Amino acid sequence: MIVRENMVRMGELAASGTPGHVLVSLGLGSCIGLALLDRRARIAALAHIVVPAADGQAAENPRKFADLALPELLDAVQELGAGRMRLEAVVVGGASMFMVASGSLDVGQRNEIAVRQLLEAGGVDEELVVARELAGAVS
Amino acid sequence: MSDPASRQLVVFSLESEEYALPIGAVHEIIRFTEPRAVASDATWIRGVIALRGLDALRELANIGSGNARIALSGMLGRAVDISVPTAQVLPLAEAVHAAGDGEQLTTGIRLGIVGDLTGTVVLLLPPADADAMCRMLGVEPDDDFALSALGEIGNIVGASYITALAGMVGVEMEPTPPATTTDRLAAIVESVLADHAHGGDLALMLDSDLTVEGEDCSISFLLVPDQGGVDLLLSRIGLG
Repeated sequence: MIVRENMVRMGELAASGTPGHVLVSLGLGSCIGLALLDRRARIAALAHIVVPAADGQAAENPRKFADLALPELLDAVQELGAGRMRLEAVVVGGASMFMVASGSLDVGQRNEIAVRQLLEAGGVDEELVVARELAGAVS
Repeated sequence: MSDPASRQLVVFSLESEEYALPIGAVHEIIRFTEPRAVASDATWIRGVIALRGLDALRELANIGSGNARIALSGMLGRAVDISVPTAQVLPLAEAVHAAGDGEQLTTGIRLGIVGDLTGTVVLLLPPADADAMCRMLGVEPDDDFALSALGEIGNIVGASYITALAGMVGVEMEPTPPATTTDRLAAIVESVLADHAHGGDLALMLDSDLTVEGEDCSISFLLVPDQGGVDLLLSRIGLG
């Protein structure tokens, strides 16, 4: 079988309904790889989120913002035929790469909070997040 | 021209056809860089490239890393070589790849920049080289002091880089205290880019290398200014 790998780089998003098709994000760091899947329909989509919210910022690429990427991710899987009620999520990343003693949250932590809240608001409840690997760095 | 029968031409090809222009009509030949797409109704515009600006920014990086070289050399008591810096403006998605092999385990020492120009300087080195630098400072790599020794290298080298840049451009730039991590290169670079990704989709990366002579031990430097910082740098050197 030929496995097609689709790299999802910073601020990119991809969806597939083809079995054997692989969506990949590497070296996430403080970014978040957010995947939505409908196992029964064999549909998946992956977004490589960079920052939590657009806050009205006009950007050429809205997909880097968690708040703009998630609706697009939901649309992408549903367009391929995924059932909204069958959706599960995988959330990876959101690392605090550099430990600094400061009161404010770094971008990794803010990304994690934003994605969690957005999933909840989008109807993908906590128990539907089937895998997560968040925060922390390699060492 | 002395001989009317002989003419100097610049020959080039478009698609599969060859063309020639009299050499007097050619102002300059530059290396091809992939243009960035712009929103335009004119279908014949493929995009834009930054031309003079990048040369000037590379020159800035050269002066910054020259100063950093002196600082590192003084700190280690050894001769340090410097590479010609590169300056690149890239979409976020490509910037990580441009920094090198993303899977390589890398030690990163990050300093924030505050003042008129904000951004991040990150020193990147293979963990083995980080260990070697610690030993040159008389600290064993597994010692509790190793992290602070690396932080100190970051402090001295990064601060001298930032100070040289600030002095040349004539803006206030102050380094913040260093923070150190070891992770995959892509994860470190992504996180640095993410800190400045809110305001735009392009990243300016100024990259230079310092090598300790006779030790096969090197540090690369990455300066990533905030989006507004790029404009400020360029306008200060008269190119904005």
